[in-house]
Amino acid sequence: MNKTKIVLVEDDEILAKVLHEELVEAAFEVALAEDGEAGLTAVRKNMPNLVLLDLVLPKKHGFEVLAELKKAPETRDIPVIILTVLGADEDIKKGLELGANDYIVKSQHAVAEIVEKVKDFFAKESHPEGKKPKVGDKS
Amino acid sequence: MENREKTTEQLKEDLRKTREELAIQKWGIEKTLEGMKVLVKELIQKGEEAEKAKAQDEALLASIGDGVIAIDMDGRIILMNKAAQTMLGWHPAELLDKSFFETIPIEDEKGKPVPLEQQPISRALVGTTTTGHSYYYIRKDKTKFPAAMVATPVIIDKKIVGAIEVFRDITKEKEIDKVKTEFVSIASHQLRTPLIGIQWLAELLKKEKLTDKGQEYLNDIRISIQRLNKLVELLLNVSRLEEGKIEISPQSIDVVNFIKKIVDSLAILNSKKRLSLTFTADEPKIMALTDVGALQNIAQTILPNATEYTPEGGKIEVKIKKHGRMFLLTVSDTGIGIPKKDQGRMFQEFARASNAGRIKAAGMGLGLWIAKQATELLGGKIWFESQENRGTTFFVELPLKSKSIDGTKKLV
Repeated sequence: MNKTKIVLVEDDEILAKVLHEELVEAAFEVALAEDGEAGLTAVRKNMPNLVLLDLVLPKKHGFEVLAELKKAPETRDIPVIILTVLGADEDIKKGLELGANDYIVKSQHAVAEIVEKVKDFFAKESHPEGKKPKVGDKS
Repeated sequence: MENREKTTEQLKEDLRKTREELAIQKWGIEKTLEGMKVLVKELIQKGEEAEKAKAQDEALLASIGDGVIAIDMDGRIILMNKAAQTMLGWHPAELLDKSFFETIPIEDEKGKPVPLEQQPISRALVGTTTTGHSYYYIRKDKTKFPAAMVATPVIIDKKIVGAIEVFRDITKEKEIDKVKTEFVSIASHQLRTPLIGIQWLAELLKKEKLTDKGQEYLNDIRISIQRLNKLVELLLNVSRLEEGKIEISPQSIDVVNFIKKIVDSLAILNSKKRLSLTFTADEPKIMALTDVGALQNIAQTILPNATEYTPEGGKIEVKIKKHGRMFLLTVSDTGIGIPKKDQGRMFQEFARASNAGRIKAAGMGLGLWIAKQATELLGGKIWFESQENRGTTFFVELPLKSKSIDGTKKLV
């Protein structure tokens, strides 16, 4: 079975390493990019099921990466979750406006929680709104 | 023969006498003339001295780097020095005798004109020496600059006859302040990333096989991380509050539950210090529309403070009461109290009570300042009553419905 592919764009090597290891342990396939431009290349090359995008990145800021991904028809539909350092920021609002599907505040979650969030995201994906199977639903 | 004709001798005598009187009078006149000359000389000299003094005063006034403006009781400008002219862009001829209030507008930081009665120079006219440092002067060309101003009344024979204002362009100082605040904001942001790294690694370490000692050290690392986190959050909040664009977005929460959770989080520390803690609310649930971040910053200062500054075996009482459109949170302790001489400045930035060092050697003195800012942003009031060595009670009164405020940053 094809593993779910994730592209992780994160410039801090420690955070990237930890997230990478834990996501791989959770049975995801993870490609790593450590700056904005490498992130764009990685997404175009891998066409993942999800992009985890840090915001403050060298070479190209996360917002620019997000904007470019959403502009190009091939990458437009790839879901993006932005990673921010602080919660309750204008960054989150801006990210969502630019087309991010969701956001994760790194400082507010343990790694395990973040992995859970990613898993939940894919669980919700396979049950898009309005089509949640109900008990007794025969369709 | 009659004595009508005087003898030659007698005539000579009369002539001699007249000549004598004339000489005396001439002498008198000469003396008076001399006296007058001296007087005129003195007057001329006094006149020159006065001119010199005036010139000196003018030179002094002109060389003062700060702007000086004097007005009379009717608000008319009677004096303006060179610095004032340069800063405001007016020529003195254009302003002398004109109304200060009509020609030199003052705005606040938000760009709103400052009402007449609040302007420092108006207040000086009624006798109050006033300082203002968040006002902007509007120049002749309609541009503006921030100014620090001090206005004092001019009193002659116990009556106020006018006012003088001395002011300075503080554009540079404001710039520096802004850069400083931005730096703190960026720095605390940057500090977060490695902090998160340590936290996550500690979390993963917990899953690894460690010796008992190892686990213990790991727990200590986690406690240290929490402390570091708190400090960084503190710095971040301070810089955000100083930048002044805090967003308040009220949500409906149960205040009783909210406070109870914080109280519970202090349970271990409280039992370690054998502190008895009672928590009472006059209703089991009190719903309020309030900003969670702001309320957190308030409660997370005054509750832990009570625990921190109360010696072993002491008592802490936390009460929540609803009254009218507000709710009141009181936190009383039997702690070391705040000395009277420190009480007036406790809500200032970096203020620490003089006896605080006994219990907590180093503290930044930011907690209460942040709590006060947060309280005011929510539309409430915070105050305390305290007696040294007896205890302190903090009161926080907040609206049940806080108004939302537009902003670009929230309190963490």
